[in-house]
This record gives sequence, C-alpha cells and structure tokens, in this order.
Amino acid sequence: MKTFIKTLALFALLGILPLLLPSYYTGILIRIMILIIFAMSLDILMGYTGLTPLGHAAFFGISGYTMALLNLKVFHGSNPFIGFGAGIAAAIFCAAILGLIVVRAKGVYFMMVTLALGQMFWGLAVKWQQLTGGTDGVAGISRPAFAFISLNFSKEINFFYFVFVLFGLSYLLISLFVNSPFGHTLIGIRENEKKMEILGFNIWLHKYMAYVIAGAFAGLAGMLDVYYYQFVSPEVLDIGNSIGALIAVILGGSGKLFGSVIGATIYICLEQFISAYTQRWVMVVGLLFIFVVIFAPLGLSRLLSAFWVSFKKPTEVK
Amino acid sequence: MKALRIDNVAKNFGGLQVLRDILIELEEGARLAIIGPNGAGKTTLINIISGVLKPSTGRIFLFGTDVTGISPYLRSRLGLSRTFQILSLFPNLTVLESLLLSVMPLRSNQLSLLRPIGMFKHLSDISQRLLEQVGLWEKRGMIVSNLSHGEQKLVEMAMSLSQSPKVLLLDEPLAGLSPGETVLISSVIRSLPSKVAMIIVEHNVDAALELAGRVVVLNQGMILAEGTAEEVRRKPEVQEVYLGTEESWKSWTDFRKRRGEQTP
Repeated sequence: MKTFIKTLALFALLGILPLLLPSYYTGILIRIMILIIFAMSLDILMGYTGLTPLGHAAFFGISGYTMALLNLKVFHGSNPFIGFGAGIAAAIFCAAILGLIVVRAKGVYFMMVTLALGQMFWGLAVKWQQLTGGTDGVAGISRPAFAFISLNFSKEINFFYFVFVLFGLSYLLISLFVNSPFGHTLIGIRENEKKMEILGFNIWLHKYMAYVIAGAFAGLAGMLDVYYYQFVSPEVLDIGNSIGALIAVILGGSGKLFGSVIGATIYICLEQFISAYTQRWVMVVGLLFIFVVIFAPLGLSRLLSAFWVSFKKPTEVK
Repeated sequence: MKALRIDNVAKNFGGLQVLRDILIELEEGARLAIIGPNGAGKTTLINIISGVLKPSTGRIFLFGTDVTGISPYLRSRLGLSRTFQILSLFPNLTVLESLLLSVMPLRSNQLSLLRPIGMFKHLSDISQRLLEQVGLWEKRGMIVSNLSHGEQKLVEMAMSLSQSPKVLLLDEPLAGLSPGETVLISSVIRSLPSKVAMIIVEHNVDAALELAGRVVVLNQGMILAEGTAEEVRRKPEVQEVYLGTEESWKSWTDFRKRRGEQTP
C-alpha cells in the first residue's frame, strides 16, 4: 500500500512537471517516458525471466514502421485506432514468430540469436527502399487525432499527456504482471529452471509468453517514439537502440521496475545535457556504466533505496 | 495397479554401462530404499524415473501410463515428485516465495497474468500448512541461501510435498545433516500420508532401512539383492559389498598388525 501511494505521488509529480518546467523540458520528459516503457519491456525478459536479448529494438522498430507506413500509404493521415492496433499487432506477431525460434536458446546463445534476428529487420529496413525509404527513413507522420476529443496532439504539451496516460497504463499493467503468479513463475525460471520443470511448470510456454508480452510493450514504446519524432528511420531498429535500453536497465537495476525508471531517466538526461558540451556523451555513459557494474551491480535504484533506508534509520547499523 | 514400474531399464553413458536390467515395481504407498556403494547408479536411476535422463532401453510406467518419453513437468503432473541430492532451490528467494512457486503448478491458474500473487489466498494457506509441517513457518521471510543446510533440506522437502505427490523420490534426504536434523527429517518422512509411494536413496544404510519396508541393493548398475531389511542384511553378497570379504578383512588386520596397531 505504501509503495502504491509513493508511486501515485511520483506519477502526480510527473504529471504536473511540464507545467512547472520550461517547455524545452517537455520533449525530454516524453522521451524519458518512452524509454522507460521500452526498458520495462526489456526488463520483463532480462530481470524477471533471465533472458537477455540483444535485438529487442526489432519490436520497437517494427511497430513504428508498420504504423508509419499504414498512416502514410494507406490512410494518408493519422488513423489512431487502426494505426495503433496494427503497430502493436505487428510487434506481437513478430515476437510470436521469432519467439518460436529464440526461446529454445539459453544464455549467450539467446543473445546471439536475438542479435542476428534483430539485425535482420534493420537490414530489411535499409534495403527495401521502395517501402521504407532506406536510410533516409519515412518522414511526415502525423500524430494521432481523436475526433471526439478536440485535442491537438501536435502541440507538445498535449502529446505529453497522451504519452503520460499510456505510460501510466503500461507501468500499471507491467507491475501487475510481474507480481502475478505468472511473474513469480518467471522469477523461478530465472533462479532455477531445472527445479521449475521438476515442480511441474511448462518452462517453454512461460518463456514464450514473456517474450511475446515484452515484444508488445516494446512495440508500444516504438510507436510512441515514431509519433513523437514524426519520423522513422532504420536507426530505431539498430543494435544501438537495443543496447541503449539494455544500459538503462542495467544502470537502474534489473528485476525491479523502478530500476528501469531510474535507468532510463539517467540515460536520457546524460544524453541531453552532456551532448550540449561534447559529442562524446556516450563515453560518459560508458564510465557511469563501468562504475555501476563494479560498485553497484544491482543497479542505482537499489543503491538509492539503501541510502534512503540508512538515512531514515541512522542508528540501525547492520 | 502398480504406482511405479521400472521395466528392464538400462542406461549407457557412451561406452560406460551405468545401469542394466533394472526391474523394480512399487505398490501404492510402498516405501522402498535403494542403497549401494558410490557409483552404483542410484542417482542415475532417480534421474531416469523423474525424466531428467532418458533410459537407453527399457520403459517407465507411472500408474500404468508409459511415461518413458514424457518431459519432467508432465510427469510431475501425473503425481511424481523428487528431491535432489545436491540441493536444488531458489537461493535468492525467501522460504515463502519458494513454497508459493512449488504450490502453484497444480492448484492455481498459473497463467493468470494480472492478479497479484498475494490475492491467491489458497496458495499461501497451503504454503503455510507445508511450512508448519516441516517446522519452518517462523523462518518464512528468510532468504533461502541464508538458511542452514538442514533447513534448506527441509525447504526442499516441503516443496516436493507441495503437490501432494503420489510417488516421491528422495535422493539422499539425510546426506550432510547433523544427528538432530537427521531425526527431524526422518520424522517428517515418516509422517507422510501412507498412500504416498516412496523411493529413498540413501548412504546412511541404517536410517534408510528404518524408513523403508523393502530394500533394493544396487551395485555396479545391477540389482544385487532385494527384500526386507533383515533379509538384505543377512545376504553374504551384500555384506561383501559393504564390509568386504573374509579375505580382505584378513589382509586388513594383517596390515594393521604389521604396523603395530591394535585391531578390533
């Protein structure tokens, strides 16, 4: 209950933040929320199931491209419901197909197989120029417009609340998901797969479903990303995009949703504020990454909560 | 109907024949001890019964169903449960979380995605009953890896009981325990419902004979002797495996005499 109230308070804070900050920051907050959704979807696999994919950007990009191309070539404008539905459906469909192949692999092999399949989609986006425009990408995608509410999402602040609602919904769904019996089963698989099988769990089915669900949320993040930039290029399918989410999860701490929140926030802030001074902001991220892996291998979110506990009870030394 | 039938099972690892001509039948509620020296193939046999390994030849029947080619998780659903010789637990989870996991497969909709696990009251009730049965309810909040070895064995025991198994395979349940813990675990095993058929693999021969009505002695992958505890104890070939022959006894005492040591 306490966590619930704290989370709600944080959400309320996030909700009023764009009204307090200069409008420049609204875009940053949107990007943070999108990366958090993406990182959380990755954490379902990494932190909870114990599978680390290197090609998670595939679902991010597939749904983005699907939505973009449908809107531009079929509807000639934004069709929020079908565009949205088709984007997520495409991500789920691809995850359901790829899952059949990748979920059989474990450890490093899983990483390699997902990397290879992920790059395949990147290659497809680069080479299939008639459809995707190659490396130039697809531009001119309009943001969703709902006829019944006369909100203009092309205004940044309105779009912020659009993303905010979906972000809140994703956070709610994913946190319910990881606390459900299914989520606990995934943790059990991460901890001891052999034992889980002896206990009578269908390991393959659980991993497969986790993979598809993670793919769906990655797809949602990808679509919001394309809506935000109103542009999509093969960069969203690039391994760099997968690695970015991976770094966010590791920085914040895997196996804990709040870790993704912290990690993604730090990642975007570093990118935003350090790139103002130097192009080599990735180096700073790298240094922080090394620091975290050595000194706080469980992630900064757990480090913060440890500080918080010792701050609240300074007398209790353990 | 036999609870478990092991029909002429053999297992080779490459050219090494680990088991051959194993024929064991287990009635419902029967308690069978498998004893034998190191390398006799006891654990391999348990692995074959539980489905971790596939037999090279032969078949396994569970309540009349041929389960030879069936995966471990489906065997578990047919009422087969086991413990491991080397503890197989969830070291980073708490005792209660581990139990909840073990209770889940048969009793709840494990594919329920959006209801918090705390809302499944019956899961925690069964977990509580099991933990009270092995005397670990007070330690439910502890991380499993922080428990003593004996307590971890109890956790594993409780987890293997969580699905009300009809056939229970215990792979060295008493290994590495203090005398007090041995008594505790033995009493837990004895208190199991009489309908549960059990195979106990043990190195502690006395304890195993005490727990089981019938004994199978394995040696070098073959069944050396079978019978009640008394019958098996009296068989010369069993004594030979465990204690050596008269000749080896003589050469050992001679050796000690030569070194000027006392002989018993």
